[in-house]
Amino acid sequence: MLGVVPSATLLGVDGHAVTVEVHVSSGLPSFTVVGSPDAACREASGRVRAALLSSACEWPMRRVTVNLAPPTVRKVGAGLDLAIAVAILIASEQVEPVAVEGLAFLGELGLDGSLRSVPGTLCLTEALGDRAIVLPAVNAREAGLVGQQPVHGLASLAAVVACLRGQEPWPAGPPPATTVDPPPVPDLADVRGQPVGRYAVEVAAAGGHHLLLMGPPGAGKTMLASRLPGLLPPLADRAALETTRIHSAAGLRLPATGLVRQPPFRAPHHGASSVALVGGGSATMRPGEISAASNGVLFLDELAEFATHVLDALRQPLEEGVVRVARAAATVTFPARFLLVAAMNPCPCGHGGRPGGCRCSDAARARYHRRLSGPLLDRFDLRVEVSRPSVADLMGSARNESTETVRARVLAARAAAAARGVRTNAAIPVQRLDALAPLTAEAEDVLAQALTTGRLSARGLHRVRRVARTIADLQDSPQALTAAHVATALSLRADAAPNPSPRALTA
Amino acid sequence: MIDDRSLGYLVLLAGHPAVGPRRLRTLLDDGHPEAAWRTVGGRPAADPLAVLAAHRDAGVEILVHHEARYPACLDSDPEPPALLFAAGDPTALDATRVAIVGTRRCTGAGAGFARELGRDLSVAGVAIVSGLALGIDGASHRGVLDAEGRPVGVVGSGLDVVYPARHRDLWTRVRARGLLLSEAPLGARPAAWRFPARNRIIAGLADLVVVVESHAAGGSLHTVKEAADRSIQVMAVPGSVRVPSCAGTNQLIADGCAPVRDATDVLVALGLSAATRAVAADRRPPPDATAAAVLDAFDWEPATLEHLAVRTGLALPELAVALQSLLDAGWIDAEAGWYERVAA
Repeated sequence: MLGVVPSATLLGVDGHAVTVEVHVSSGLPSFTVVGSPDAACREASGRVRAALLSSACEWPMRRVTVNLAPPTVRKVGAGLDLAIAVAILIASEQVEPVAVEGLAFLGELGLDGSLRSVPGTLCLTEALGDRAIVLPAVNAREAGLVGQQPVHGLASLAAVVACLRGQEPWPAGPPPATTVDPPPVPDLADVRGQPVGRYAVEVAAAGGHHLLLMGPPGAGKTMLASRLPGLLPPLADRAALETTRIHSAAGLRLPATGLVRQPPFRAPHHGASSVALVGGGSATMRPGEISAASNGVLFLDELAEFATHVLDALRQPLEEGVVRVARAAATVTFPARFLLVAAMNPCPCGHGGRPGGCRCSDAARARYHRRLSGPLLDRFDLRVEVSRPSVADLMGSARNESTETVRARVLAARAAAAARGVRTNAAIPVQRLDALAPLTAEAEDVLAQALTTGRLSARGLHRVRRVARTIADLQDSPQALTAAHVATALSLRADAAPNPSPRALTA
Repeated sequence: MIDDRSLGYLVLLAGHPAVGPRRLRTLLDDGHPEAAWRTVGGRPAADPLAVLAAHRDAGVEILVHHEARYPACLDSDPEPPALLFAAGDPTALDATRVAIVGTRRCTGAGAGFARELGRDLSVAGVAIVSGLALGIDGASHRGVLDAEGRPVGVVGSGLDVVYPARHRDLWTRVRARGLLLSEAPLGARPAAWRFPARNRIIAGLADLVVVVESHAAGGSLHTVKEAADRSIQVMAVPGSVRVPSCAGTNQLIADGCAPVRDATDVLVALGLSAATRAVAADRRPPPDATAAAVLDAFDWEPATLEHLAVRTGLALPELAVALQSLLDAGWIDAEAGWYERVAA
C-alpha cells in the first residue's frame, strides 16, 4: 500500500516543498529512507516507530520504504518525522487516504509521540501553498504569520491521529498574537558624559553610517553601541517579515508578538568563525550573524581580535546588502543589510591612541594593525575616539537626553532621506551627491583645506559629504551644507584610524 | 699602527653575531684577528682587504681606538668602541656636545620641545648628539638642521642600513651636515642588542645629556645610567604628571636631576653664555576668539574631541569649525582622534 503526504524542508532561508511517499509491502521487516536524507532525517525510523507505538498505533512488521521527493533537494533535520508517520499510517491502512487531502504536515516527533518544534516554520509554511498545515502547537503562531492557509497546531501524534480519524475536530487557527509591551530597550540617558560618543551614535542611526568606536578598555564603547538599536525606527512590514524569516530559519527565538518589529542587535564574540558570521554550514545552509542582524545592528566588539579572513568576508555583504554562500550542494542568498558598529582598543595595551600613552612594542602594534585591512576600515563613515567619562560625569545626577528624544530627531532625519528617494543618507550614490548634498562656498573651503593638507582623501570626501548631509538633517536644515556641518563630519572621522606605528615627525 | 689585513679581519669580526664590543676590544689590544675569525667560525673565503675597500668606496672612514682621528672624548671611556665607522665630518665633535634623547612614542608637545631645544642649542654653537630614532631623537636633529647646526647621529646598524626606514631623509641630511657614527660595519642589521650598546656611545660622546620624554622604564633611562657611570651630567625636561611618556623624566627630576625649561638652562649648566636668538615672530595666522579659547583648553596635553567639548563647553559644530581652522593654520595636529597643540 502507498501513503503520500506533503511536507517541506529548509535550505537557507527558503522552504522547499517535499512529497513524502511511503510504500509498505510484504517481505522481511525493514525500514529504508531514500531521497537525499541527511543523518538526522535518516534516523527518523527510530523516532517514528517509538512515537507510533506510544500513540496506540501499530508499526507495520513488513517492508517499509520511505521516499522523499524530489531527490535533488537535500532533506535536513527531523522536521519530516510527522509527515513520515502519517504516511506510514495511510500505507498500513490505519488512516483513510482521504483524511489527508488538502493537508500538509510539519514537525519532529519525540519517542513519547509528542510534537516538537521545527526551525524555520515560517519559511516552510510559505513553501506549502494553500494547504492547511498540521504542525506542533508551539509553531502555530509563527506559521499563522504567513496568513494564506489554515493552521492546525497540535501537541502530540495521538491528537493528530484522532483528528485524522474524525474522532476529534481539527483545532481552530492559531491563538491571536498577544499584544505585550515590547521589552525595554537600553536608554541613551544612562550614558553619562560622552557628548561626542552619544552624538556619533545618533548620526549613525539617522544616516545608516557604519561606526567605529575606539578607546581604552572601560571607556563605555559597548554601552554606547547597545543604545543604537533603540534609536532606529521599528521595522516596516516587509523588513519585519524578512528579518522574521531569517530568525526563524536560524532557529532564533521569535518575539511573542509574532513578527520581529524591533531592529535586531547581534553581537557575535570575536572568536566567531567566518561561517558563523556570514552563514553556511555543510548541509543546512544556516543564515549567519550578519543575516540575523539584517535591518538592525551588527556589533563587533574587539574588532582587531577577529580573524582577518573573517573580517574580510564582511566586505562584500557591506557593499551589496546580501551575502551569497556557495557550497557544492547549493548556493543560497541571504539578506545582509545591517548597520555595522565596531569597537576596538587602539593597540594591545589599550592606551595607544593617546600620544605618549602606549607601552606596546612596535612588533606587537604592527601585528595588531595588520589584522584590519584598509578597505574594511574605509567602510566606517564615523570613527570616533571614546574616552573614559570623568568621575563627576558618572556620579553627577544630570541625565542626558533620553532615547525617546533622540529617536524623534533620528526619525525626522530618516524621513528626510526617504523623501529624497534614498534608503538612508549613507546610500546616496556618488553621482547624486551634488544634487542631494550641495555645499555652500564656506563648506567647500573647509573641504578644500582638508584635502590640500592631506587630512582627507578623495574617497573620504564622498563619505564626509554624506555624513554632513545627515548632520544637517538632524538639525532640520534642508538647504546646502554649511561649514559647520562639514567640519563636524570631519571631526567625527578620525584620520587614518588608528595610527599604525609610532608618531612620525615630518620635516 | 694596525696593518690593513688585521684591520680587515677586525671589521669582519665587528659584523659577526658572536662578537660583541668587549670581545672586539680585547682582540684589537692583544689578539690575532685572523685566528679569531676562524675560531668564531667565520667564512674562510672572506676577504679582509675587499671589506676595507668596500668601506672606503662607500665613503665610510674606520676610526681605530688609540689611533689618530679617533674621537678624543672616547679615548678615556670605560668601554670605548674598538672601531667606529664614521661618515661625514669628524670635526663636528670638536664643539661642546649635548646629547638629546627620549622615547620613540612621545607626545607632540615633547617632540616640539626637542626640536626647539636642538635648534636653540645649535644657534649657541653646541653640537647635538642623538640616536636618529623615531620620536624625540629625530625631532632634536630636525631642530639642528633647522638652525643649520652640527648634528652627530649615533646609530645601531650599519651606516648603509637605514633604520627606521622612514628616517632616510634625516640620515642623508645628518651625514651631509655633520657626522654619522656606528659601531657596526656596513650591512649590519639593527639587532636588538646593538641599541643599548649604541646608548653608551651617545653618553660617552656627550658633555651633558638631556632627556626630553621617557616612559617609566624607557630605553632612554639606559642612556642616563651610562652617563651616570661616566660622571656626565644629566638634565631632564619636566612634563605633565598625567602623561605616561613623561613619567621617566619626572622621576629623574624627583631623583635630583636639574630640570630643563629652555636652552638657556642647558647653556648655563655647560658654563656657556646664553644664546642670543632673535625670537622670530609666529607666522601662523592668529586664531579667532573661539579658536583661541579652544587652543587655551589644550594645556599642552593631548586631548580628544570629547575632552575639548567638555572643557570649552562649546557645541560640537562650533568646536569642529574652530578645530578645522586651527588644523589648517598649523596651531594643532590631529592623529587617530587625538588633537595636540603644536609649538611655533
